[in-house]
Amino acid sequence: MVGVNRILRGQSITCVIGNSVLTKEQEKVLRRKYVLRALEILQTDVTYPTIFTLEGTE
Amino acid sequence: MRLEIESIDMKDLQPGTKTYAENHILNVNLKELEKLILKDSRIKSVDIHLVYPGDRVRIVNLLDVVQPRCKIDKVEADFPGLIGKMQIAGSGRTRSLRGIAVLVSNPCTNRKYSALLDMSGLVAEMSRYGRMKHISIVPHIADGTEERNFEDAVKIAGLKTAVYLARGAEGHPVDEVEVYELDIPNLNRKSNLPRVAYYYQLYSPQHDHLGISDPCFYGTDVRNLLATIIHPNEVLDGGVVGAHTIRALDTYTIQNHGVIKELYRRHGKDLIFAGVVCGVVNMEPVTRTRQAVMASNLVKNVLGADGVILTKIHGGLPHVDLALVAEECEKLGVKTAIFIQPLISYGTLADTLLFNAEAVNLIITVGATMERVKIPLEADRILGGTADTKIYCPDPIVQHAGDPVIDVEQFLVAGVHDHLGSANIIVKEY
Amino acid sequence: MTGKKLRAVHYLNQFFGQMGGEDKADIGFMIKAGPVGPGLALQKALSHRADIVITLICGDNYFSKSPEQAGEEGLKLIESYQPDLFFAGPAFAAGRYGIACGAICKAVGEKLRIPVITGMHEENPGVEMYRRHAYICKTGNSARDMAESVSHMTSLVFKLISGEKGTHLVSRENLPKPDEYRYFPRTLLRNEYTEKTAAERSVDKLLAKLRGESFESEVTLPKFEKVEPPAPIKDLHACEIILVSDGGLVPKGNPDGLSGRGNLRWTTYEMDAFLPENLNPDDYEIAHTGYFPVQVLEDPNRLVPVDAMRDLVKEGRVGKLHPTFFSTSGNATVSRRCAEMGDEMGAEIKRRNISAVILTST
Repeated sequence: MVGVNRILRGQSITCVIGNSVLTKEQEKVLRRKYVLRALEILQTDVTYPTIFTLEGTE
Repeated sequence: MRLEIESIDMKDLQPGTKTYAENHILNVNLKELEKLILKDSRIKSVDIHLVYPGDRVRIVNLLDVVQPRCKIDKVEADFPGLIGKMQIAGSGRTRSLRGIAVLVSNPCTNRKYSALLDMSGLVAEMSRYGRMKHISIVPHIADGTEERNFEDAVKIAGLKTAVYLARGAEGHPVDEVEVYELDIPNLNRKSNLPRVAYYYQLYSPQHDHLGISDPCFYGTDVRNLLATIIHPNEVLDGGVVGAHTIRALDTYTIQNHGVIKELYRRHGKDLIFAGVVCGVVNMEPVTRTRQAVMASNLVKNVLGADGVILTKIHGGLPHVDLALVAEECEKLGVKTAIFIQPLISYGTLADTLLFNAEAVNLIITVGATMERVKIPLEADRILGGTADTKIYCPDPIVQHAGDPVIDVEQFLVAGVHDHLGSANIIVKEY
Repeated sequence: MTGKKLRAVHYLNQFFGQMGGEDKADIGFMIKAGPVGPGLALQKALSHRADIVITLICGDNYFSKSPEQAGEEGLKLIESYQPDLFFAGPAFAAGRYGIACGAICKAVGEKLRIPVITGMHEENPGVEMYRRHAYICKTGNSARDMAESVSHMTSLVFKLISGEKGTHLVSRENLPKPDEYRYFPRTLLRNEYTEKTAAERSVDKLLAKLRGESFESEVTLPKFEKVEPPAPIKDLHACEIILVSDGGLVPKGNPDGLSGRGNLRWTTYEMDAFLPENLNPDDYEIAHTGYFPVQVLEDPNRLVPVDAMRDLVKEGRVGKLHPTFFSTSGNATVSRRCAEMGDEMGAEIKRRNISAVILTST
């Protein structure tokens, strides 16, 4: 992935960390999940470029 | 298996009262040929013309170009399974006429990608067929014949014509004998020379017209072919023919298979030709993987190859499919050289790759077959169709054979590119 | 094409146009009769084949404020002189000058359909941006190279106006070979005739590959740089994290002038002021034409997750959120410049002793 080693797949191009079909409250919960996952990934060892998802890896 | 191809150079092609060859001139009894073709009840009538370099003629709706060849020491053995009795092609003696070809047109075709050939002007300059003399045959469909059935009839008429012409040259002195001998079971396993195999992607079912595959392998279609080992001579000697559209791969190029001939040329000198595995393109990822794994296994563990050259047919999915076979070969430690064609005319060469596997790092550009070329009309007559015959161009252009200028992708011009590697073309960044 | 004397126009910046140095970089367009400065060498090389009828001069700063517009402006000024040929620079490694040369060549080439030729060093950003719109000769990185560059530019133009058929190409176009005429390929792909068939080449190269020797693949796989993954964070509580985005989030009015396309700059905004807790969506703009910005403008947190980060800091899950936000716009920016911006940001982030980055991208 052109040099990037830790990638977290976001929601969509026009809405990276959120989802416009959800209520404001639900969106905040989703965004919190994404950020927590990002923080988790920062603490994860990787040896090569890896694409992560909210649930696991691709 | 040992095959001897006895070639005769034909300097001219003439109509005559008898079909025979003398002083390097082939005389053809066109009436007799017509009778032969009309034996097939699917064909109502046939137009036969002799065309020469420089003629102001355009031949359209081409579905094949065939080199005149016939078996010398066997009967009913030409294009076995398709015309001749089923038997393995590739041994004994075959006569081949050089300088002449059979141009096979289907005037009522509904296929998009029928090829064309001009005998003068830009196309004649670009195409290897522009320098040869030809018999153009244009069969017309008999009433009540189904479309796909008729296509097969046209194809067979072309092959039968090729055989008929070669037979006609019996008795003429031979100009060159080429020997193709490869005893695969007893290949020198102690030699230090690298063993190089060839993976031959035969076909893709993507463009199966009306959902039916073209018979191209001993008279049968190969839609569901699993990776198969064949002897290279089977390819050279009529076991494999072109599909019903050319797209830079016709029977003529198969009969003169560039990669196979090159591997033979260097066999025993700087490599051991280890054999041929053939396969087809698969539409589903699961079947694609199965085929790639099986093909690479045959290459490595049955043929024992150190290296393999892979060729493809026209198209993007064939590109993806072939790369997967190459990847699997590399995984087994077999080094690959893969043929691709860029499908666009802008960007960088790297942009045109439809795969990115680090190990598949030796890529040969056989040609950008979809490069466009504008062709001014240099013909006073049209064979195989009419001035209104549609010539394919991507939307929104609609054009016809009689237009003063046509804008075509080069793969539609017969004899310019060759997926099997015999053309002197490379793709460069400009 | 022989016999008729062609009319040429030459573009120069303020320095080579002998108007002054950096102090004159803001001057607008002007026209001088005949060749000026390096144009004299160019005229000598063009000899009797062409006359440089006018020289178009413009300050680098004036031009680079808005290259597309400036290109159009310059074009309008020279159209009436009916040039058959257009030259710009050479610009060597000078970035603003290179972009100006490229942009003016593009405008002239597209409208007048005449050969447009310039010269740049490979690291000039103008190369990637304009290589498909002009013949950019390869030069050294300074004016020491002037004589040689001018000579290349003229050889190339003579080839282009020769009217010869390109017998080396299947298409028969008169496209000079980039290697032979030393210019950057213009992102075209062409079928070229070769001595050896594809079959011969494939066997030659495969044998080299088998022998462990070097071989030249006819297509080089795009090289994806391998970057050693940094070691994972051990303790989040001791960690300071910065938010960065290339989605083009800027204050309304875009005061720092990030470009919506082909942007070359990045900026910083203090979080407290730029993304306060009770932010107002009307205060923002998206300087990025590569995606539909409506959803982000409804709630910028969807691009830059400040609210979630702040909550997690409050709860003690993360040590600290860095008080500055780094913003840029990554839409059709040449990858070389992207990498440079990344280096620049990275250096600053390291200097500030920040432990990790969360970068959001559309």
